Amino acid sequence: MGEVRARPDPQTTTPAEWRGYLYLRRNTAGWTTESWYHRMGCRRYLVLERDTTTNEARLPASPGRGREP
Amino acid sequence: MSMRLGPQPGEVIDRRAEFTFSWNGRPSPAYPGDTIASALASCGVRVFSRSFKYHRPRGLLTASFIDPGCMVQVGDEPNVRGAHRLVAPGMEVRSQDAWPALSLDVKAVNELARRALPAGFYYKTFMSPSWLWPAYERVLERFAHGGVVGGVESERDGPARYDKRHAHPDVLVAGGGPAGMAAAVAAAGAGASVMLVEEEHQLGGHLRWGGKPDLVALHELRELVESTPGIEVLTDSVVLGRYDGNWVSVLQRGLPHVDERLVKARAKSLVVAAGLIERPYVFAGNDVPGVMLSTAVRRLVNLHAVKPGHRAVVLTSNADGDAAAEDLDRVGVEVVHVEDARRGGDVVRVRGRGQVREVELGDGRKVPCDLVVTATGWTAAVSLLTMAGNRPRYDATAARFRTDPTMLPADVLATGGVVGDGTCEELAAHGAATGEEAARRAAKDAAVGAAVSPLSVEPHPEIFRGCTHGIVDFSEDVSSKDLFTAVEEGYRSAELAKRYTTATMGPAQGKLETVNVVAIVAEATGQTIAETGTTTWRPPYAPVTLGALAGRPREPRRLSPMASWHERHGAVPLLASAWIRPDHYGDPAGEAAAVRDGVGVIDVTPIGKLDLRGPDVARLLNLVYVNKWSKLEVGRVRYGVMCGDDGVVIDDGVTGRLGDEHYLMSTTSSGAAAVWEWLESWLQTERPHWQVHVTPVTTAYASINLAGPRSRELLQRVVEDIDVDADAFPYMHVRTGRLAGVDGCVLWRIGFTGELSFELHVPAGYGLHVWETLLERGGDLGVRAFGVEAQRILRLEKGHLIVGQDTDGLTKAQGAALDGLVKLDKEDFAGLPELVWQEDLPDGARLVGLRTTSPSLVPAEGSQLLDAAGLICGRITSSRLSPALGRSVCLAQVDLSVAEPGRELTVRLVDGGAATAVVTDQLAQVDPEGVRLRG
Repeated sequence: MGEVRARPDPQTTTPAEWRGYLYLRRNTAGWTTESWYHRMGCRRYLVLERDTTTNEARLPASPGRGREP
Repeated sequence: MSMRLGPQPGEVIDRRAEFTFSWNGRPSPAYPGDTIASALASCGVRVFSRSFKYHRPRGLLTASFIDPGCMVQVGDEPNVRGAHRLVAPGMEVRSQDAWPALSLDVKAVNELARRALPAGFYYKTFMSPSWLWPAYERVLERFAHGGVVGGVESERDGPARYDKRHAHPDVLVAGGGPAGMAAAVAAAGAGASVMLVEEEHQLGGHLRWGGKPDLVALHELRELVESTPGIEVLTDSVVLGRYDGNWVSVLQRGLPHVDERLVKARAKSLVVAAGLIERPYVFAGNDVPGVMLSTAVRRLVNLHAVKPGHRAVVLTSNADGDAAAEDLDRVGVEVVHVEDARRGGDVVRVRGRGQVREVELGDGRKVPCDLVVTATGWTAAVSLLTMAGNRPRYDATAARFRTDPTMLPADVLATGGVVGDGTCEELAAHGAATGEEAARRAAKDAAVGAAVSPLSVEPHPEIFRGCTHGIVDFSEDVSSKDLFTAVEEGYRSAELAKRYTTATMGPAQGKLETVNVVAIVAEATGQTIAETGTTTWRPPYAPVTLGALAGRPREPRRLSPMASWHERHGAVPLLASAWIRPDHYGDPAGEAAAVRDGVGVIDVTPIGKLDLRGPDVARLLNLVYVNKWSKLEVGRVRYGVMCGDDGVVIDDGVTGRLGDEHYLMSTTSSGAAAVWEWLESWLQTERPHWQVHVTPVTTAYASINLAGPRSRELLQRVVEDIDVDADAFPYMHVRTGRLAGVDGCVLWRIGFTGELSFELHVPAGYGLHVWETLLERGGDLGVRAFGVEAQRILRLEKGHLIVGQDTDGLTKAQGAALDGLVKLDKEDFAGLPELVWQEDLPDGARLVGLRTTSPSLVPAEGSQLLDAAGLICGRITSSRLSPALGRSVCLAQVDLSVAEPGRELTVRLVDGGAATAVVTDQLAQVDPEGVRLRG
């Protein structure tokens, strides 16, 4: 589904901030955090990290889960 | 005159079974194993086609799949590679692109006009005056390349058939030459499951046209492949591309019952053994029929026992060129002269119109002959390696672009000619070592990089272009002069020169041309070849039909439980997403009238339905709908509209509360899946702490809409335990209970059609029963089935919008006349900020009703609307003739500035004419107060 991005507070947001959330992406060359949806399978949303230059993917680091940098 | 030789040791033809096929209408003999080109060549045919731009006669150049001179029409199949396709008895073969006849080509006048048609001429000529474009188009069409699709009788039994297959080999070997075969055998010996893919009709690669020792080695390797378990061999098959994680697509051709099969393989290890492709030499007259590569000669002589000519001159710079001269000599071709480029020899020019007559050598001598053979170098077929991310580098000593095998991903290996040279034993040994390593990596026995000791590369002189200008891209008719011109005009890189001249963009896609292009661009710019670099190989490696990509026709259809009834009663089908719906039963206007006057039933099963349960459902509804849901009581139903976070309307529907923590949501039929995903995305990502279970029940319920002033009467005859009186079951309420003996039905009272109506959701298995019961029991009420078209007319009369028809990808809630529904004082909902800003700074179009001045005019949907100044200010989104009013009714999206009741607009009609229309004061034009709904 694309880069994970934080939804601004709809009560306090400005047009520039909200539209940045809607349309702008960092589009890094390298590791990026993405939201994926397993549409043809379990129908769960999941967050992955992917290296956009090699297509290597990994689970994001979380407390207790060791991973090489 | 027959050019067929006596039996050759390595020949692939079967002389016992001669048959005939036809070439341009005339019968021609052939043997099984002959290609179209070899069969024709055996009869002395030398000209097979005309070139693309200059329409010069063309003969065989490579005698392989990529031969540019040999594309022919077979039956109704155009662009068949004649030097690869095997002939079959009765096959009808015709030449292409040679109007009116191959021998006399009027278009060869192009040749005389060559000065007006240099490279890039499309950018310079046929430009002005622009009023001549239709004429230019007709002329250019006649000159367009290619064969004919359809209209010619096919000798095949039925329509083309295509297929797909999934495979999971441990090791996939691309290329069945000595290294590839050895790799396959070794990998299988190490316990891997192997798929060996070979482009040609037999395994063996260059061994097949080699000398005696090569044929012995060929036989041994073939025996090994056959006797080693675990190797699946696909011949006449080609690897189209390598994608991430060794996802490899393979096109399998020549199967008896399938025209092409696409094999989608996920290989643990990929071994690329694609070998070498011989390069043409660039000099004046290098495209005259009778000029061919050394491999073409060796294929014709050794595989097909065909004499390529009578008097030959050979330009050689390597052992294969030498061997070609020996083969010719052996079969009785007079090898008049061998010009050795290693000792400074050169060929300057070939003369001859439809055929080689004479060749001028480097020292000025002119030698009469009918066959000129060149052997000037090899290009490694590195495509798959490039697709795996490797950039080949130029090696000037070997005159070849090479891959560094240590720079490949761990799951890709390379062996054979594509990475080096050697004797057959050396290639096979390298192949075996590579195959073993591939098997090891597939089994994950070794971590990355047990390196196989590399093959050496033989030095080779750099011979690309002589001292004259010749054709570089035979398919696109691009000469070296054109490349020089391109560089002069500023297109100084290989990529730019390629795009400007179209060199490498023909059917061979650069396999024959790229290195020569790079060398000539380097020459013209004064840089080295290494500095000029090379273009990028992209999939597909070989041509693939759309049929193969599509596979077997598989169009899933969704049918409602009442589908059989609709079919039996003459319903005209409407395809809506994957659903087959009844559009009407022969009289949509009559069906609509029946609803307004009496009662009608419509099958609305495709409506999306979602069962929502949990303590937080109301919060979810508040979040996804623009209106408020906290106070919706049990037994009530409400209309809601959903917007995306950009404020654009994405769906609408009604949702009813069946219990404290139990709701049923309906959506548009095309939005059913998308809305489910939308709800899940909020629940799983933004509000994971909310407790809501969403279950899609679209197909679990058959849905029937019962509409019309007499609908309550009919419902009373079917309902068993629900009180459906006007007071007991008011407008926008929901009830559950038993209908016609079926428990668990949901009924709600809504009004899309604007009449008193009830939507019944029946457990799907009983849908047909309830439908038939309604029709049976309503006979005296005049009950009639109505279809989607009638429903569209009815809803349009009431001004009810259809999301996606009356709104588009930019329409925000206010643009759909839903201002009243939007509750901006809610704390949060999808799209809130954008809708707030719309209130402050409105922009965009608005949905309005439109009445044409002429009542009988029903303008086409999509017709443009113009304002007083004649500028486009909107379009008609829905338009029908209303049976109730006897006039047309329309909805339109128009600019804010003209969206006022009473404003007159001009409708631009489809035939170019104009009509006037007036914006109405309400969207609904029938019963605007909604009296009938609430009855």
